[in-house]
Amino acid sequence: MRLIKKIKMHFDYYTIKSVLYDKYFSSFLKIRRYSGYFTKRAIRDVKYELVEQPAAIIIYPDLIEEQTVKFITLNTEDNFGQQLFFRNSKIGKIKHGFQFAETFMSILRTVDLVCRQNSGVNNVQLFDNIGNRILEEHSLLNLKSIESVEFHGNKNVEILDLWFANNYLLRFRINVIATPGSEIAAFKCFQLLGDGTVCLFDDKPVADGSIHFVDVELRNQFSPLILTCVGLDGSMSAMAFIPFPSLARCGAHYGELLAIDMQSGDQYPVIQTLRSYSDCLIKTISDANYDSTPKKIILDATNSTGAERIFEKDTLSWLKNLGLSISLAQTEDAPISDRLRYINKLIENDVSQDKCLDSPHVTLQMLADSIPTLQSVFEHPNQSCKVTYGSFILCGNDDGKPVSVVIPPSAIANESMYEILEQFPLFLQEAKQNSVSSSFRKEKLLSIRYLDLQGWSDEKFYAPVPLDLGLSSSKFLSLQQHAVTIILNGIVDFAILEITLETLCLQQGNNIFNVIIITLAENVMDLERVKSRYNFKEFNFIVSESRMKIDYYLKLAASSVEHGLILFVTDHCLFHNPNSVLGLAELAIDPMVISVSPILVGSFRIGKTTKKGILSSGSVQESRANQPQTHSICPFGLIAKLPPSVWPVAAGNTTVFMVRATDWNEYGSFGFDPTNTHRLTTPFWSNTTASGRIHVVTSKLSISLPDSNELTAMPEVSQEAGAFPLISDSMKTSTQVVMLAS
Amino acid sequence: MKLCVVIPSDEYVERAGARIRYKRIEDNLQKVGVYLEFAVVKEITKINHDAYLFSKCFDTTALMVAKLASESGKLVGVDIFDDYFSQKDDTRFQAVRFWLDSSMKYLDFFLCATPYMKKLLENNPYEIPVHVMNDPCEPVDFEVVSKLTRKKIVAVGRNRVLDVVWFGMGDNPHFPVGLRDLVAFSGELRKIEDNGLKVNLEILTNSRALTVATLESLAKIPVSYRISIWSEVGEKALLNRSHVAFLPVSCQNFSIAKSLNRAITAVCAANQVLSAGFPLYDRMTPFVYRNAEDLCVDFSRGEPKLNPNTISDLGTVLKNTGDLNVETESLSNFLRNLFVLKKAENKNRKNNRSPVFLVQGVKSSKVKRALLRRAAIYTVSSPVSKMSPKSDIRFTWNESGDGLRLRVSMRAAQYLNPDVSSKGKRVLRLFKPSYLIFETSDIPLLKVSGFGLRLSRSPGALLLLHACLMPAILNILEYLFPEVQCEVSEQWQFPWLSPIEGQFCKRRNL
Repeated sequence: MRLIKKIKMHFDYYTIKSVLYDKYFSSFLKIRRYSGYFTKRAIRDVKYELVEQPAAIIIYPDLIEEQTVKFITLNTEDNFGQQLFFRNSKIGKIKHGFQFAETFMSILRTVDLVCRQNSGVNNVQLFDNIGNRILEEHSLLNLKSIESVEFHGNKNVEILDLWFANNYLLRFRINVIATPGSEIAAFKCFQLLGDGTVCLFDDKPVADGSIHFVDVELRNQFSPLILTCVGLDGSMSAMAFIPFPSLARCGAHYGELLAIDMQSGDQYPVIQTLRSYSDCLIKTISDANYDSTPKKIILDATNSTGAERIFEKDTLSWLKNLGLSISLAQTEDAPISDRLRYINKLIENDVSQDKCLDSPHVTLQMLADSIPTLQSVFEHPNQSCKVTYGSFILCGNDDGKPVSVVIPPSAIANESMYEILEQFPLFLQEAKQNSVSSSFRKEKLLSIRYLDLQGWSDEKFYAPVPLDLGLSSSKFLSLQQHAVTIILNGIVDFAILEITLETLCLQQGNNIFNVIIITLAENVMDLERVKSRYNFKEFNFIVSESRMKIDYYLKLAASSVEHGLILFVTDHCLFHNPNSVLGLAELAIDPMVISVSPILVGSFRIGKTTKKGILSSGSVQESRANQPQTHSICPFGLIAKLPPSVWPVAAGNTTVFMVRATDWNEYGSFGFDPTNTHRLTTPFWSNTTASGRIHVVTSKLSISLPDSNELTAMPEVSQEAGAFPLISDSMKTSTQVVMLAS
Repeated sequence: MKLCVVIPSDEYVERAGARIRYKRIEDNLQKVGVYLEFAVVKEITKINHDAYLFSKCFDTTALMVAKLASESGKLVGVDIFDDYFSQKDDTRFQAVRFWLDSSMKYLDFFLCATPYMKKLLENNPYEIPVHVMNDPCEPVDFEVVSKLTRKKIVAVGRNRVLDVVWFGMGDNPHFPVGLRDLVAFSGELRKIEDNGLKVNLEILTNSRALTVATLESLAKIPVSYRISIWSEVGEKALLNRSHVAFLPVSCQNFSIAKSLNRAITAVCAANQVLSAGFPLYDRMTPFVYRNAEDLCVDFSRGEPKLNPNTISDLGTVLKNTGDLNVETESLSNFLRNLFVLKKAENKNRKNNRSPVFLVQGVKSSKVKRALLRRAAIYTVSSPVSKMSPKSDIRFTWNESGDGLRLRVSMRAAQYLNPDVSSKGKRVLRLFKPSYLIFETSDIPLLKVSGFGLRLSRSPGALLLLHACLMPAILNILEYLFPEVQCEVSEQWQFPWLSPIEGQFCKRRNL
């Protein structure tokens, strides 16, 4: 068959330098060679004689800094001129990974040969010969054993570091050892994009000296690239494959690399971790069963502005290339706003929407401030579980710096944990409808969250979520069935005690509360006097002879409560939100929850300035990257940088916490800290780690302390640091935080 | 017609909002008989204009001026051009939301800058009419724009360099906008370079926005850029020499309510507009690019969307989006129609002031006494607020701590519910005005909790007291003075409002 086609393209400013006869891509083209230049700014028609299709043409636009190599298949009249190279070629769907690398480099070898001919292809025979040789011998490199992020073919070239100078500019630091006879004249870089286009970047000439900085302006920060060394004679002497450039320093996935480094426990140079982790991912891709990797991402876009990284075109195009579809989590009964309509459109336009996902598949569910980690899209989740929670890496939104890894507790095994673990990403296994179990794999990093880390404003400490008196009547009725006993440690002056009592009295549902105060004899008269003001269900007080016997009386008071919930309160506390007690009760009645604490906020001084902030937030297991021996139970300092939520913790704050009476009487008691005889401690947190249930701190509710100038003394807040001899115990039920050193 | 634009301060006249929305139309309005004047809200004590338009005044004085003007038979409206109202869960805007709710009963119209904002405002319980006045653009000399456009197209064709400008407020104290959007959508600029044109980005913004964090984030922009501090002159000069204005917009409510002003300004200075993110500028579609590829292709052909051949279409687009004459005429017609209706309404109106009790909060703005008297406003103080001996109604804790004691001045006592006024004991004072005093034994509603918090001024204690005491006080006032309207004066930044907001909405059947 003999076809004559016209290519009608906008070649103004561009020059066609070569038309390639490509041996690699099947038997295909028999095309008459064309080599020439267009210099006028006009649309030109070029005549080609095609004997057989498809054909491939390489176009070099030489008037721009970055050269683009465009492969064009000429299939039919309809899609004539479109860039359909990979999609319609015999290779089929290209999957990011090893298979791709193999294909890509085979192509690039051919391309490189073209590049050497600066004025185009003049000798088809030469290409035939060389192409055949490559295909037959498979000689230059052994593709099956390729390792990434290092040069192959020339031992005198070494990548020392690579990082993003801006969102697209990847900068390499390369060491070149000059050896006679194998001089390197330039670096040449290629990148394959999702649509099958191969980009060829400018040659980076090698100057004198051994350390070279090579800047490559990527087309897409997620797409793999190849850096080659070109010798003085134009031949390619070495090649390095960078399959996941986003793992480089300052890249979108850099936090993942740091977290992996942290998990390994060893300290290697970043470049080495990058190399080994890239290889590890390639191996995962080669081994993975494609059907078991995630096919869909569900985003919770409740507070999304549409400017998050997940909605950047690069990210969407990367996910599309991986065959992942994206949809927004359903919002209950809310009319679709202009905002959500826009986001939906954004996703529809840029992401492949799998029309048929009827077959069992895995879904990755996360918040819209996140992007998926590389391992989450390539690895398959736990096959036996319907829900698999994972960790997230927290990064600053402005500077992109990774701050920490936040890991959910490992002993979560109930679907009611959705609300408590709402901040964590998870895998949903659609096929496991009948299974109700959840699981957790510590090493699974599912998402990277980009958040503003300036912390909360002053007002937000007092009302992390809007104050709302309107507790629904059904909830109110259900909470009424759970008797709430408030045990108030009131060993202070009456003036201070009165404030706490008053705030309890102003709580919603106060008439269902039983209040027991442990106080000193000198307060009794005052308490008798004011008793009539408070309309609690019951109001009693126990007189303690001295401060040092408070532990005994607290125990006595608690033992008198046989059922329902107990709220332990230390004096000084202001329940400034009228819903605080019922809000805590709402969480405490969950069978999986063993204790609930709010965050404690107030003013504190730094130098001469007074600031507002969190004084107590419960404790979590914290460690520092590359310091594996420093695991400890620390205050949950990160809580004010994260959105208000409910967090499983190793220990709540002992100033205010709510428990079931039965649990407390089984596991709880108070004692005095031997190192500080004024401080009460309780082994409750460590006693209950084996119970498989969780302690939670809610940052949606805060309790405040009066401004410090009103205080005679700060309340005795006990700390539980050191109370967990076995860190592994707390890991089962607590959020863990690993601080990353970026 | 004399139209008074009520503004928060003298300096406000020079800000973009006033400059664009009022100063630009001032002369044109005058030609059609509408005389526009500015007045700082704090300085208003007399009502002598035909219509009052409040611009970014959300304090008690503004509310009282609105009341006074409304009762004087004047047209009263509010111009809302920033969306601080639709974020119902955001406690930071409770005060302005509450102000708007409170002011509605005095309003005859809303003015806004976009159809989106109109949709929000139309959903008001008083069915107050809403008029969209697009930000009017300055008169355009199409001949000049055409010449400048041609010059710019030739320059881009010759140099293959595109001068791109981002201009405007770089930050907002409440929302991540401005430079944040620029960084988030900067990938679009990179696409220009991918398509063969070199980009020089110039950022023109306010100095406050240039924090360390912002500068660090700007480093992520993938094209070369330069930052300059904004000035009106600087903006004009830059727009005159740049080729493309890059206008990225996120989809948060605050952003999607914004006007087309920036796009119009850019186009009228012969710039192509590249819009990224939310399609805010869709109404200007013939002159707005939604992706960089199309922009580059058109420049390569020497025919970008704005070119000498399409300049004539620009006039048509502007007519619907911000033509000075069209906007002026439309506004004056809208006001005139309302004015006619108002006049008819005034014929049947009795010219008397209805009293208002102004309940002071933790942080109340001060209202001039002259205005208080003229508008028949009675102040109410309570344990939540500063106790002023001059208040007409004073709630204080009683000694037993079981509730409040109420003192009512004889001036305010005239409005007391006749059934309960006799229960009050009159206290006569030498050389001082006498008052009525009520105890919990007289009015059981005065029994309220919170006495124990009287000594604390901690935010937590005040917050709770506010949440519990203010609704109680409003209830008591409603019972004692059923004919008198109550307003709450509260500028406190803490999230105090939702309980009261709920109660107010209930009372007004909102």
